[in-house]
Amino acid sequence: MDIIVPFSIRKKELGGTVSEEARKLFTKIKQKPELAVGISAKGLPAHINLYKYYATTANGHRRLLFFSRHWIQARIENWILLFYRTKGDEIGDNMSSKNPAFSTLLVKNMGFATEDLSRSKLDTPLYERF
Amino acid sequence: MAALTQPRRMTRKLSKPTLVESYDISADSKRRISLRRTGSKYFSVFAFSDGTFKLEPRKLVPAEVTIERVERVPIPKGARRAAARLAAAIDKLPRP
Repeated sequence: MDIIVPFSIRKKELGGTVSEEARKLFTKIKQKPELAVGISAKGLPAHINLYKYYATTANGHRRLLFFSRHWIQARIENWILLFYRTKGDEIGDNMSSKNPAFSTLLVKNMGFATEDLSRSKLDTPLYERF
Repeated sequence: MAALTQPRRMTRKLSKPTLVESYDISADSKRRISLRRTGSKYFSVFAFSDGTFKLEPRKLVPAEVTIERVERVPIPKGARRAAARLAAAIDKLPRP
């Protein structure tokens, strides 16, 4: 399993750089992905899942949302970071479709990630892989 | 010692599927066909314009990644199309 952070998401959610705290979290998520909460949504296409991850760091609670693409035969799974928020944040407090701010930003962030990934080339990737 | 503590990475090498069995079948009166000795209960079915059907065992998450807690929520409007586009972009990513 790989965690991919597109540059635009890195800029919007992580302030431009992947902090040491985030790196530690990514390592932990890769070791224990079963701690994530899967979002079962009827409208999602096949081989796609959304995962919420509630994390606790030295600097407070974090709420992460990943977009997962997986192929069972190839044993490939990529988790794309879409949100990295704190607990008191407007989005981080309620990551569900009942929160209109989350719904709007989810579609926007997916669009930003799509743009970065589709413009990436082998020698100039517009994302970081963990 | 640092290398020992690194999490084990999944094998990325694509294993080419081999032909195990081949047989002819006919559809029944309701245009259904039966598969023999299937390894899984659920399949994702892809129908092509030339009449070809492709079936993939439907296991949404790898065996070692078992997400126990699941929230059932409706997906926001517009997210379905955005998700499909993002998935297509991920598929085109160069593999490490």
